[in-house]
Amino acid sequence: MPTFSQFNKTFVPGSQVHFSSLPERARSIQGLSAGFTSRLIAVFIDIALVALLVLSAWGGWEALRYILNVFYTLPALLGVPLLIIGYLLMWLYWTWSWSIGGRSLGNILMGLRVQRRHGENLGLGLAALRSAFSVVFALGLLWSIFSSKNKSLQDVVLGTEVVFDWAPLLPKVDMTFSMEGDKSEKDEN
Amino acid sequence: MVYESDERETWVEISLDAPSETSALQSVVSTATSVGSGALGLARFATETSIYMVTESTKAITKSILDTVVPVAVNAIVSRIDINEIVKEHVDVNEIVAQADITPILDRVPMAEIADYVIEEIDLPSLVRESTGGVADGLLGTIRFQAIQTDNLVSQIVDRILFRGTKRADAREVSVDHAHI
Repeated sequence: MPTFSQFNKTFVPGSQVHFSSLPERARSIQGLSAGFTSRLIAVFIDIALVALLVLSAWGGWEALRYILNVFYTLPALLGVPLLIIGYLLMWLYWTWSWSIGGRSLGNILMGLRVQRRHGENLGLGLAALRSAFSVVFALGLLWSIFSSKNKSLQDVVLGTEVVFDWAPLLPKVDMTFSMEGDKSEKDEN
Repeated sequence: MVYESDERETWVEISLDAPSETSALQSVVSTATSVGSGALGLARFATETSIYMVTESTKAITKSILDTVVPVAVNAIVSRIDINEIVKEHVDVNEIVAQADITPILDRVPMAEIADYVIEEIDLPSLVRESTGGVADGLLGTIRFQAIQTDNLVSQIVDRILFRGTKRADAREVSVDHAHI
């Protein structure tokens, strides 16, 4: 157990406490590039989320139609329109979630984060591009099996990466106490 | 002392002489006066200088003696007494501390560092995790670790097939003990 003076000598503002908010067993993998399986599961979770959303909206719409229409006809199978809506929704959802924090629901559950090469967040434009690429050519994820840096085709082209980031988004103490706002911003990166 | 009386004599001479007794006498007197005052000035200068020199050298000698003696003496005295004990006996430390202005001291205290230290020491993050995470966090952690282990398995196989020197799985090897809660 270090004394305060020992602690203070090795202290880098923000970093240690932020790091210690991780579960101990996850510290060794924090920030490393995530492998294929984790990412695949995350993608499946996202797809399931969007599918659930689309199907329940469609079911709701049909239920409404059933209530309002006296002569209810069973719906024709709306495979293609639903698929298009699903793709669109998927694109919007990934764009939104990657641009604001690098995490979609699947990423959150699997402890992953999409980031640029030096850890910065994807901007809205880059997130939209990556999202579109992922929606159109989801098989690009397969490249992460072979890439030595676990990069999917999208990552290689757009210069992004997916890392393990289990950190719950606790505010850093340094940010809470610091008088200079720009200092804590600098420490974050 | 000496030249004061001389001066008075001169003054008396001048004042008592009648003005009619000519310029010759006057010039003699004035010459005598200037010579006298010159001599007086010289004497005065010599006296003052010598007094000054004596005073200054005395000062310098005293100072150098004090400079050498005092530290030794004080040291000898101080080493024979326990100042802490004296302070404890005669000084109310609390009284003095109570008068001290605490604000500038607090300004020098690294508050954020101390807060971080305390959080680190009591492991606040884990307390927060344990009180809020519960079963869900444990289950989620297990699922994540199983995924990571599958990641490693896949990478291991592929890296072996491709004859890779640096194995991806080595970096993110997670010990099995940790993988289960």
